[in-house]
Amino acid sequence: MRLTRRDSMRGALALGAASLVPLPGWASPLHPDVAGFTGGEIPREGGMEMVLPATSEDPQNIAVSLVAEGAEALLLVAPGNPGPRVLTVRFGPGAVPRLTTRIRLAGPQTVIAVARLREGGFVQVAASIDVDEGACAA
Amino acid sequence: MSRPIRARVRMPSTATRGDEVTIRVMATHPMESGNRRDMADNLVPRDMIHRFTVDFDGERLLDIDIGAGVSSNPFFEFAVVAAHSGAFTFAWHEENGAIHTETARLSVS
Repeated sequence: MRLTRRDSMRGALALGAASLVPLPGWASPLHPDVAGFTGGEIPREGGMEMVLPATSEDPQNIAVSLVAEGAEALLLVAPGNPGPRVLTVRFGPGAVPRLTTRIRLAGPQTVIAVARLREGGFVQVAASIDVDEGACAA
Repeated sequence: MSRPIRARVRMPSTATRGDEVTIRVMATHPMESGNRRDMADNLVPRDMIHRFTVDFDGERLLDIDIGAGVSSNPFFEFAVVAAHSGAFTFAWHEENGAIHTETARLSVS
């Protein structure tokens, strides 16, 4: 394919637009449940892991696993659910900071997990899942 | 009103000191969030387990504050570090005030 001047201009414009998006704070306000968990602090991206399938046939029963090294508490939020806060878990010193459970989702959405670290500060990870919209019990 | 909870705890009964011990628990419960409608389009009354706790010889290991997004018959898998022999207490707290508990012993060598 030949790259014309017009193509390269388009590319530059797209790149410019993309670079505006990930600025946290004003571009993506904190979900109220996340803000409640962190006291308004914006979590760092990464530093923890969430395992969630990309699609699910059964929106009432979706396995999700969370692992956060050094975490004393975790929050899981499904912003597309009528009741978005899925759970909060606190780990005692003798517990390994991970949890697997099964959740229900009202439709396709990006699920957010946040960890509060023992050393201070917060980290977060998000994962998108495609499920059928239907009668949700959540 | 839901039926009495039946709960199942799956974990090893023995472990070596320092090992991670994986524990799986499931309780029978409808976990009605109060947002769901029945066939006649009436809201099904709220009926939830809102908290699950795990203690080991009186020490709190896990405390889960459960919201509406957790599936019915809630399942949790977690792990603890085996430090010494002792007894776990698992407690499912219902919003109506009822608490269902199970206990299990772990022998650590």
